[in-house]
Amino acid sequence: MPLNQELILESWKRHLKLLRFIIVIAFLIIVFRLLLLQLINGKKYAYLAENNHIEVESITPPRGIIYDRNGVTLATNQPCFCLLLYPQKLPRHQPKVLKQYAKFLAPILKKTPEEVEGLLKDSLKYPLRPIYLKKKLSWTEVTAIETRSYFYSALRITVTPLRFYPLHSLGAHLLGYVGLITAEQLKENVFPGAEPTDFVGQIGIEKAWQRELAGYKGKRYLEVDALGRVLRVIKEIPPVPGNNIYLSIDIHLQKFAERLLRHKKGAIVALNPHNGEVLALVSSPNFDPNLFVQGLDPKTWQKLVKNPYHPLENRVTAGLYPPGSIFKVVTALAGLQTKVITPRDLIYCNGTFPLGNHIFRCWKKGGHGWVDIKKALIQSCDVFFYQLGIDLGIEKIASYASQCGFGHPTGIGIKEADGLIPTPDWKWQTRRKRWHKGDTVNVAIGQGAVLVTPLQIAQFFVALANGGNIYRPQVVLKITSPTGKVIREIKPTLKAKLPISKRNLKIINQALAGVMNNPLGTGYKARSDHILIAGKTGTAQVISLPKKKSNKVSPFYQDHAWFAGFAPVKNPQIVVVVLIEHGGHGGATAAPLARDLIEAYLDGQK
Amino acid sequence: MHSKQTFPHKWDWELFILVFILTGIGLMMVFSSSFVLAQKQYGDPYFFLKRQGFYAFIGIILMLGMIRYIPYQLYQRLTYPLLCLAIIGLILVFVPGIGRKINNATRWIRVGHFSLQPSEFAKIAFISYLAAAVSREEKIKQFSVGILPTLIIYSIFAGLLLAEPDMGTVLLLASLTFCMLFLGGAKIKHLFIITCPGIAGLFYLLIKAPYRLKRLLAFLHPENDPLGVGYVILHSKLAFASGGFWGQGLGASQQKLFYLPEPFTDYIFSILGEELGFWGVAFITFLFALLIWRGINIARGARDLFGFYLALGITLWLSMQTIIHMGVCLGLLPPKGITLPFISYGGSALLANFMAIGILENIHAQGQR
Repeated sequence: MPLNQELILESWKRHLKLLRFIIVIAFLIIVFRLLLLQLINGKKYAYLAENNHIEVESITPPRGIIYDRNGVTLATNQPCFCLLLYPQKLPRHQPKVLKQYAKFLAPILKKTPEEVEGLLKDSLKYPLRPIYLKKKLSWTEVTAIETRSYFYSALRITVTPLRFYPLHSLGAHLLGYVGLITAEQLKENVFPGAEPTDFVGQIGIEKAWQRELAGYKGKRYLEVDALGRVLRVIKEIPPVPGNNIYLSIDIHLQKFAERLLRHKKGAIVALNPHNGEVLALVSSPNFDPNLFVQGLDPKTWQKLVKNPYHPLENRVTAGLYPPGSIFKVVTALAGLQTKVITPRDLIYCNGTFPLGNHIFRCWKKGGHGWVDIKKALIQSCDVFFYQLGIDLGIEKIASYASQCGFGHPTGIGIKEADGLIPTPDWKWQTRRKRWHKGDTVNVAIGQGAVLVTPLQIAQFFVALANGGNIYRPQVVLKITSPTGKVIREIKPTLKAKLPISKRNLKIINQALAGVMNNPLGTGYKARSDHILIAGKTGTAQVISLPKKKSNKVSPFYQDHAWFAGFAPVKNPQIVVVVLIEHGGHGGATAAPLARDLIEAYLDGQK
Repeated sequence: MHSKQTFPHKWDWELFILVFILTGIGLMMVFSSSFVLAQKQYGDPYFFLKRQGFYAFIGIILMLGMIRYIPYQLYQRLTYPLLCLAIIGLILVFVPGIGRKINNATRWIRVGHFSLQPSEFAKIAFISYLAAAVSREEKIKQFSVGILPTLIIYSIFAGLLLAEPDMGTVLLLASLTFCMLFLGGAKIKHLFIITCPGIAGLFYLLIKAPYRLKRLLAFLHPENDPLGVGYVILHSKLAFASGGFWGQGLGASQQKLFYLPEPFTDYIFSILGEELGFWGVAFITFLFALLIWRGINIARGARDLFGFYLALGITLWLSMQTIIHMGVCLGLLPPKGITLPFISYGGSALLANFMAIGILENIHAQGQR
């Protein structure tokens, strides 16, 4: 080999020489070009580079408008002058100039110069993250800043379409709000292409439909001089506005429902029984979503978050409550369908139900006497359902409850809670305790660990009212382009059928009508004088207390009042669920509100 | 010769020191050109630096291991398995779940938390194949057994790379093939025959999509279209200009950073020019020239023909990539996504570069003075 290689090398020396020559030439060209660019012609280019360069600026499109079902505007945009700070343009090494900035900005931001200086210094931590110093500048402020823009190149005024909710708190929980994109969202790239100055939907419809509403950004190419002043606009790519959304909400009904819940804590939800469309969705207390657009100061934010009544929580979808007697409808349905009980079977209620060494009581001290299933529902007899619960067993109750939509989300599309239907497995897994018959008894009347959301109850009652179809509660009706062309219509989704026969459903609906119209019914006092309503009242114990007179109980321990129902009984048009937190008896506090809402809706339709 | 044999003694220190200096400069430049973007995208200014540092560390270990334990003759014996591995890697890129798409290019495969770019390693496999092919001098003179197989294997690579798409590497491999065949003593007639279809294909591609031609030629007059295809070239030139003789200082080219896409990969040389100025760039260019010089010397000292061609191929690869990258940044060549060895950000590229040095050093260690 070595000999051979010597020969080869001898013969290839010329080739290697050529290779070396080519490489040397290539490098010489590079160095020559460097000399040319950096030293000889450098000044010309450097002047170009430093004095005029091109900046690309995003143009924020107006966000899609949100309407109610009749076209009333719920969320729109207002062009506002906003004051932006570009920290990378701050003269960070010139404390004097920084002080000047602070002095200039202090009256505009209504802060002391020292505070502003601190803010400016903080902003330098992330020099490339522009900051909104103030939104909604007044005309005098705009002129004051614009005339001095020569001296303060790190400041820029932009005209941004800011979100505006003209009805303020009305429907706030459903709409949600937009807020400045958070540092985490930016970091995790939740919204691809987002910039630190963007507003994005943070909860509710605004969040769920962010992609439709947001539109696409435009671009503006600017020629800018060394001081950051814009010399001319070279090219502009206009933004594409977001699409509009029509909600199923009827804003008049919503307004009426909100008025009913004023100064109360609770929830009202009204659904169309034919398709599950949400007509009204109220959670009280509420908040003004405009606050989030303008940016909350820490104090207001703390106030909202630490408020013991949780105004930010959407009680309809995310509030978890024991359903109380409303759940008896589920137990009754399971009893009839599994034939554990027939409509003719009677159970004797003497007011007590001994089980082991514990005595469960009926809410009526003397008892109801002999009751069948209809009477038991109408009068909400506890003992009847204790017995039925024992006869059914927890597995069957849980299975039927789950088939009725409890224990899992409804799929409405905004943030919601799952709810809970306890089972022996669940108890063992979470509490390491065995299941007792007493637990079954509690579940049968909707107490114990059972937790539901008002929306789940409404979904269930929609199915009761329409003959057994469980629809996904639906809030968005259609999406239209900015010019009003319908892009997409959203059809109701039939999720499942109620596990009940026509005949048994009829029995239950007759009982539900009896609740409101039988003089002994728990909701009789709240009946309507001209509309036949069917429903069920509920009184959910918050904590079991030793027997005390109810007026002495602190409001936080008072029972939750429930009502769920539909009207008119024949051909139902509306399903209403009312929950009043710590409201006491469902028949006394919740049912009248539901009646008022139903009357308002049906009378208004005529 | 035994495969267990180690080669501890004859290290080319000059090459070592060059590589370490270049890697050091690379880390520095990756940080200074990426921290702004890293802060913006990941909230951590050291994001790219950390990754590059990690790969550099792994690369150095890999290099040392290859020098000591892997005799370069192994690449000759394993030529075809290596080629298969490379092709499998290039195919894996398209397998959903394994492949990764970034900026419309499917060039990466996911390995745990990291992404690897098989094309970088494929370069090494391809070069060792070329070296093995041309070292059989009796065959290289014949078209059917010497040239045609090479052409077929190149076509497989090129096809897979075009699908990614990675035009830069396709052209790089083409030039490498041409040069190696030429240096290996292929007949000029044969070389002419294989070049013709290539040029014809290039013409076809350009005519079929005129924008390609426009883009290809835009580098000649970037001023004509400052917002379109000329944008990057113009700003790359501006970067050099604003660097001047002394440079703006490390990390000081903030403003221009956002004008150049991929400032820490395809245009790192421009950032170098802006921040370090003429003296810095000239110095680095000099270092690269030295590196190539060393590579050619190592080839000359190789103990057998395969070692000679392997060293030559690797040196050619590194020099081509260096010269093309610099040419693109300086506006001398049309823009192509080619990285600068040891300097540009990119884990797989860095690993492959270190592997290349590992092979060179091994050839040197076994070689003769």
